[in-house]
Amino acid sequence: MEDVVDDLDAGRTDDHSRTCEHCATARRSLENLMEATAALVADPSEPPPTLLGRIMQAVRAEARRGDVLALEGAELGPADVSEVAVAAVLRFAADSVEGVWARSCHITVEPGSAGTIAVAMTLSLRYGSGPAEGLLGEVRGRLAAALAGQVGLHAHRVDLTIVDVWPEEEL
Amino acid sequence: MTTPLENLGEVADVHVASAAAGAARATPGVERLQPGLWGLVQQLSHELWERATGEAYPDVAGVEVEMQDGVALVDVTLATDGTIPAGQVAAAVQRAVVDAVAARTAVPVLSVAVHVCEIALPR
Repeated sequence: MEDVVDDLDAGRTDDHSRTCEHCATARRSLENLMEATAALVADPSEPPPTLLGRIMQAVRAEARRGDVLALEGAELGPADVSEVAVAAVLRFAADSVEGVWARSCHITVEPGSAGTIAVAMTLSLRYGSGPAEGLLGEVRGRLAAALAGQVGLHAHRVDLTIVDVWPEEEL
Repeated sequence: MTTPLENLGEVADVHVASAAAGAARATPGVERLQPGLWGLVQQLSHELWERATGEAYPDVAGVEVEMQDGVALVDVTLATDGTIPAGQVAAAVQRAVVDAVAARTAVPVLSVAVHVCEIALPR
């Protein structure tokens, strides 16, 4: 999405954007949006103060339509949640443990196991925050609580990998 | 003069979308309905039309309605506030939309698809 915006700003197209159906759709939507915002700018009255925020929310929503996780409990039609949104919830939950910083979060779905996911997360730990085993146990607990309380999914597998340790004085 | 209502095609679609949007927005756990880029374009054009004419237009951004043989397929994209599991919110939105559309229009709803695009993080 960012590449399409950059190309529009620069007035250029490449081979991929000319042939990719998704990029063409995104480009048309962005061109329509630019026309509408131009009309708002030309409008003599003040543009809505929240316009930029609304545009960014719409761009994020558009970009998040691709990878979704099915939600359980819906009976009157399909229901899903953005994988990016769930990853943000999980990273925030891990960050809430003192001395832990979530670096990346990858979510996969086991075929045939609706409502159940596998989480692979990389973490940085602050040196001196305590034994890693205890910190990782706390992270697992927070992840499970966030998944159940904010999303409505549960993880059958959580892989945590410590990829960095930083000294306390760097904070 | 052609109004945005007529531009959208079937007026029934807008009535269904309006009822669905109001019900979804009022469901506990829903922070906001979220349009995509095209939905935002439509929302901005409706706001311009409201300014030009002074007539109110229902805010249906984030809700899409497709009519098939007289029944409606409703599609809702929303952000939750993080206080209730997204799965529960989605199920509640589905029930609220079906009830609201039945109460305000004569159009039966075949399905309500709910997409949660964002979960608000604690501040």
